[in-house]
Amino acid sequence: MMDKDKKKKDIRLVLALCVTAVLGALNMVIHRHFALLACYIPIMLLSIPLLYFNYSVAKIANRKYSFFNERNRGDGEPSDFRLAVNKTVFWGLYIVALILALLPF
Amino acid sequence: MDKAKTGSYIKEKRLAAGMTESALAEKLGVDAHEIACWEGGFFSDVQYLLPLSEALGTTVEELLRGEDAPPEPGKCGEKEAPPTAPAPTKEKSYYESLRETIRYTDENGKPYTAELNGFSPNERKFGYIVCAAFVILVLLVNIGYGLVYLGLGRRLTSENYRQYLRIYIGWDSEAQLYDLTVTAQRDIVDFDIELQITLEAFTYPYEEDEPPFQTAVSLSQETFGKGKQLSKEITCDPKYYGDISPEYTITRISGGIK
Repeated sequence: MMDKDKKKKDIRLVLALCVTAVLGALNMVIHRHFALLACYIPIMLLSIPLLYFNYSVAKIANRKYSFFNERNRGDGEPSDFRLAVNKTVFWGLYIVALILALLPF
Repeated sequence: MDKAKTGSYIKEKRLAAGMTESALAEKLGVDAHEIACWEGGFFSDVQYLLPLSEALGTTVEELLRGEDAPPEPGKCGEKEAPPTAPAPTKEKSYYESLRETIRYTDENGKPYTAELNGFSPNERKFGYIVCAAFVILVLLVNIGYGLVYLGLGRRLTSENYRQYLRIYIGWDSEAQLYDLTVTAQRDIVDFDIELQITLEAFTYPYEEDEPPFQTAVSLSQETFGKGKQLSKEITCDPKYYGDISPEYTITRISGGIK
C-alpha cells in the first residue's frame, strides 16, 4: 500500500516545479530574452506533466508497442528500466529549460 | 412435461433476471441459438436442467412443470425471490474481466495506476533541491543586476562606455584630416571624455624608426542628449595617412546616465 499522503506530497512538489518554472519565465521576461522564452514555455509545459504522469505515459506507450516493452506477456506493465529512463529524460528536459532561463546572464 | 410451457417459463425467468439470450448462453456454455430453441419449446437437453435452473434462480422441478412451485404449507412468504443480476452494460468474457482486474488492481483489488504516478521520496528530495538551487541562482543574478543598475551602471566608466557611447574616427584623405565623432546612445549629464589617439606613420620611403603620431583630444558637454553628436577635427602631418584604423585609448571619462 502506498502512503496515504503520497498524493498530497506529490502535488506539493508539482506546485513547487510550476512556481519555479514561472519564476524562470519571469526572469527571462525581465531580461527581455523572448526568443529563448519561446523554447522555454513548450519544454516546461511538456516536462512537468510528463514527470508526474510518467507511469501512465509508459503504460500507454506499452499498450501501443507491447510486443517489445511489456514485462509480462499481455499485461502491458512498463519495466522499471523504462520508468527510470523516462524519468531521467523528463528531469533532463526540466533542468535544460531552467538552464535556458539562466543562460543569458 | 409440457415443452411449450417450459419454453415460456425459461423466457419469463430469463427476462426477470435481466439477461439476454447470449448472456445466458455464455453462462451455460452453449450457443445463443440454443437458448432461442429452448424458449420456442424444443428443450430436450437433460444435462442443462441443473445449470439452467441455477442460472435462472429456479428449481429443476419448476422448470419441468413450467411454472413456479406452490408455496409449501407453513413456509408461506419464506421462499426467497430469485436473485436478479444487474443488467450487464457490456458483455465481457471471464478471461477479459480477469485480465483487467490483474492489470489495474493491486493484490487487494484496489486500482493502483494513479498511485504509481508521481514521485518517489528520493525524487521528491531531488526536485526540491533543483527548485531551491534555481530560485537562489535567479535571486543572486537579479540582485546583482539591481546593484549594478543602481550603482555602477549609472555612471559612465571606461568599462561600460560602449553601452552608452559610439566613438568613430573618420579620415578625409584630401584634407589630411581625422574627424573624431562621439555619439550618445543615452542621455548623459556632465559628460567629459579625454582620448589619446595614436596614428602610425607611413612614410615613403619607409622609415622604420618613425615615431607614431599621438595626440590627446578632450570633449565635454553639460547635457549630452541621446542621439546627439560631438566631433572634433584632428590635423596631422601628411606622412601619417589613414589606410590603417586609428587607435584610441580613453584616459579620462565621466558622466551620469539619466
